[in-house]
Amino acid sequence: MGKPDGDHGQGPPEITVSVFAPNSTEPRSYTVPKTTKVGELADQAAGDFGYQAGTPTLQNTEDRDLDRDKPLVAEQVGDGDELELVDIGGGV
Amino acid sequence: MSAWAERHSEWSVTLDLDVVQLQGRTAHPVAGDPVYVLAGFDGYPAVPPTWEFRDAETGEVGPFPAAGDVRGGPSIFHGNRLICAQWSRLAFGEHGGPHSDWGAETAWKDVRQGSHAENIAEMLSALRVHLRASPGWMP
Repeated sequence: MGKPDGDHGQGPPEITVSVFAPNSTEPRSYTVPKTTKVGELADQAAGDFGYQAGTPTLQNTEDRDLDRDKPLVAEQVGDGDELELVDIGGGV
Repeated sequence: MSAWAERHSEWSVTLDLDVVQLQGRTAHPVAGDPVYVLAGFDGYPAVPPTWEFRDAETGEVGPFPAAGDVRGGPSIFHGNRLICAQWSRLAFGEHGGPHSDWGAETAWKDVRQGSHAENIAEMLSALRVHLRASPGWMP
């Protein structure tokens, strides 16, 4: 029996997600490698939405604030997911 | 703000333009009790709003959320029972808050420390993040 074609059931290397910002009515769509760090996508989205400060991360539809240092795939982010940009900056 | 409130339907947000106040109501995610937050927007956006937690029944000064861990970072719920963030007027030294180092409240948008928000939806979003991490009420 030969190897199956493709990536052995691991899914496509890229995922497309929608990111909302708190004040946005429409999301922005991003297609990125699933190994992209959460923080990298959050920073990109924050910049695109015009944010210049804070500590952005992404929140999933289960209201979990994702770890900025982990890849999207490790945080269970999949193709078609909707995420929200949140600021996890704290008190000082 | 409306779009945010629609996406987070566990919050009820009312803006009273006559008295320039926002009333936010939800339930504490751990304690389960009603949360009622009252924000005063007189002077906004030149100055940040005031944020107070009130008793959901009486409207008087009420219980304050306990500080929780947000991704390893400190909470905005300060031990002085105020929101410690640049979007909270009561955090500024001019109002007796802990942050004389932030300068004048009119320069609130220039503060680059900690939680940062400039519009109502962003403020509610930050509040929601920290409330979800709160283990209960401050004693």
